[in-house]
Amino acid sequence: MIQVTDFCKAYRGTVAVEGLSFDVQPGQILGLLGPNGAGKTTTMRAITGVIPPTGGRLLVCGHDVTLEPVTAKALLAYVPDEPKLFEALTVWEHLQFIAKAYAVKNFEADAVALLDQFQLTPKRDALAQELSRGMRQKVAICCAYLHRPSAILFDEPVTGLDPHGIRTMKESIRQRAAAGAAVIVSSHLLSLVEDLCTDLLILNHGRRIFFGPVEGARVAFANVSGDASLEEMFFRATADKAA
Amino acid sequence: MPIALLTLLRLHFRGKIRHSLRGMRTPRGLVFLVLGLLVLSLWLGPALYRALRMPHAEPQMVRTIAPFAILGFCLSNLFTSFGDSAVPFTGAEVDFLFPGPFTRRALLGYKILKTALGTAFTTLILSILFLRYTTSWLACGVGIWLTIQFMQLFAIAVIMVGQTIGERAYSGTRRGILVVAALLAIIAIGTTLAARPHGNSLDFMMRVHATIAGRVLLAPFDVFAHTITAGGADLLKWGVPALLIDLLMVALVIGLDANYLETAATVSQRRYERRQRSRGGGVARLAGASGPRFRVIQLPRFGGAGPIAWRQLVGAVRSSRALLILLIVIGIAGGTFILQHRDNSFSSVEKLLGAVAWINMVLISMLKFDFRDELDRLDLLRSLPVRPIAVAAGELFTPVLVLTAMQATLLVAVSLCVKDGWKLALPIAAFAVPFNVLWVGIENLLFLMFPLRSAGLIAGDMQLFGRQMVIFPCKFLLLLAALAVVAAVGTVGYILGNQSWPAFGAVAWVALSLVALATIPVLGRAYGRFDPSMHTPP
Repeated sequence: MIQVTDFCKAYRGTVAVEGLSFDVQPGQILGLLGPNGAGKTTTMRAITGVIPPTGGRLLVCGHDVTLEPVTAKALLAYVPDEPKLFEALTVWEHLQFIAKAYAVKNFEADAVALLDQFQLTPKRDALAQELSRGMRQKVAICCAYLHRPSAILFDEPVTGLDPHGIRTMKESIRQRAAAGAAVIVSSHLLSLVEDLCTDLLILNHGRRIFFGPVEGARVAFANVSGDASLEEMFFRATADKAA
Repeated sequence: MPIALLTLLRLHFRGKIRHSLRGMRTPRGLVFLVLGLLVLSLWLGPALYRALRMPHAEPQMVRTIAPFAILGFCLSNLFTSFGDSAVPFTGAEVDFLFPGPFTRRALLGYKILKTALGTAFTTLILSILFLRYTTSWLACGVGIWLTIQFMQLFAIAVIMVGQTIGERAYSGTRRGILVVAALLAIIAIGTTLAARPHGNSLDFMMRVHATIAGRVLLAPFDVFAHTITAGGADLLKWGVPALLIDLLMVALVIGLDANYLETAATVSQRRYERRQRSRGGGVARLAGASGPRFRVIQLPRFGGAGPIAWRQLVGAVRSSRALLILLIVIGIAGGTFILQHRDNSFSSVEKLLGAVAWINMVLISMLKFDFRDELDRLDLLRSLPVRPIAVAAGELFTPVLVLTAMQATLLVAVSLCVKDGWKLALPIAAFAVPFNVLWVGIENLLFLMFPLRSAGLIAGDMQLFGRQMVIFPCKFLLLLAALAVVAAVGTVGYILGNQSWPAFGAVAWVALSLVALATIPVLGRAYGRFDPSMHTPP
């Protein structure tokens, strides 16, 4: 579903990501981990077509993001770290626009259900500028789900959400994955990744440290006991390679 | 262009109308709207009256000045365009449209169309203001609109060309264009000066324009100036080529299909962060901090005022790049002032006072190193174990210091360069500090009473406009009232001192200082009553 092969990104002599390869299959939830500056957001933004890769191939459902950007983008959704909404538009108008952008016919019922799922129904006609941080996050998530994307990328998806919102968010991610979407979740909240993800991709200094099932990470970092937490694995993985 | 992007434009338009009319249901909102419209009509009314009732000015003036203005814009755009330039997309556009199913060309088309539609209000205002200098309102409107589009498309084209041919090649090309333009300008101005011209600056510009080099340099811009001033069938004659130039620019930027997304996304994020920083701050904040290389020694505590003043002072020092720009602006204005008066011995203080007042007027809105910068930090500020009066004193310290330093620069220059200038500069300098305390105090007092985010203003928002128009005269009324008290007390000193002006000055200075000091507890009280949960604007 999402296939990244030998992806490189350099900025004026600084290599942000180097030779990164991984893939995410339908139903998988990949946790993207790494310290600050590891290249997580760069990778996500490259998959969404916002930034061009310096090298390598990025495919979404077999469509190259660089060569067929429109087809690839129509199949994915991206929820950034701090979503910026159109301040003068209402919540409903955001959904209206997304429906038009992704050619979603008869979107109203789905939009109403999404607003209901994320407790946004009372805010349906509120302007984006009147929403709190968490509400804005929820609007961005509703917009991302509306066109039933095959690949969904989340950058710190639960920042600003209340406990109810976090639970809804996690449930919705599992549901989307169960329905066949390939999901990437980038987060510094290791407990969230541990709870939610089926697979892990750990980056450090733009390089892949680990890629595989969560259980595989325990094996990969053999000197960690079998029931080690993700936090222990993460520190070992990033500390070893950084040193 | 995809229908979705047109839908977005429609929704934006609806949103803007809604934004402009919001709050009309409340009496206060309605009052502000009416006042805003009233002030706008008072502003445009005289221009409209002059255009309709009085003889029209010679269109040649517009035909002469406009090409120079457009050329200046284009050159400054070329001169200042470097790595940080990008097609201006908002954060929401980056987050929603860039990962969306749109081609780069479609997004660029959307941006150009949105910008073109967005300039309608500006065009309307400008067409009324310039009506007297043109022959037809329609031509004036069309011409101004096409000119604005040209300038915006030129700015985008510069960015797109830069991103297409690469930074190094672009720098070379840009340098080449600037050198050619500079050569043509030197030849045109040199030829004109060699003929020892007479007359005013407008005549000089006309002569420069009439030279061969001038005609070559200004030819593309003449078309727009002629469109603005065209009458009847001339509108077609000049309007069509102007439109063609704009369309050519559109074709150029769309045709290049440069990969602008990454730079636009990065710059948009930077602008967003800068905007967040400037939500309560001024121009100095917009320029961004210059890093922690400048350090300021800690001030004594002074009941808590010291640390607050120190924090604002650090902010001011680290925004020194912007302050430097302000100093250069003041230097140019002050230099012009001094050059005009260097042979005169001052017989009156009006002009110097005017210059000092101008500094205060212009800078006060920029030097927001006080409560106006704290809107989103008032919670934190209120949690400090510091009395409100000390907070107020601490907040006033930095803008007063910076304002005084800038005025002092001008006054010292006047003392050194103008014959007997010190005789006037000295008394003005004596009054500067208490006056600045009073002025900044009033500014902050009104801000705490009517908090407003300057970053929230949009073109055509009549309620916000009205609100500002109410606050602005209030500020001056308060200042005038305070100065009237000072003048009255000074007059008493003058009479009691046997009609002595030094006595007037001394008593007035003491009175002004007392009034200025009195603003601090008043400001402290206003700050103490400020409830961030209720009074912070969205």
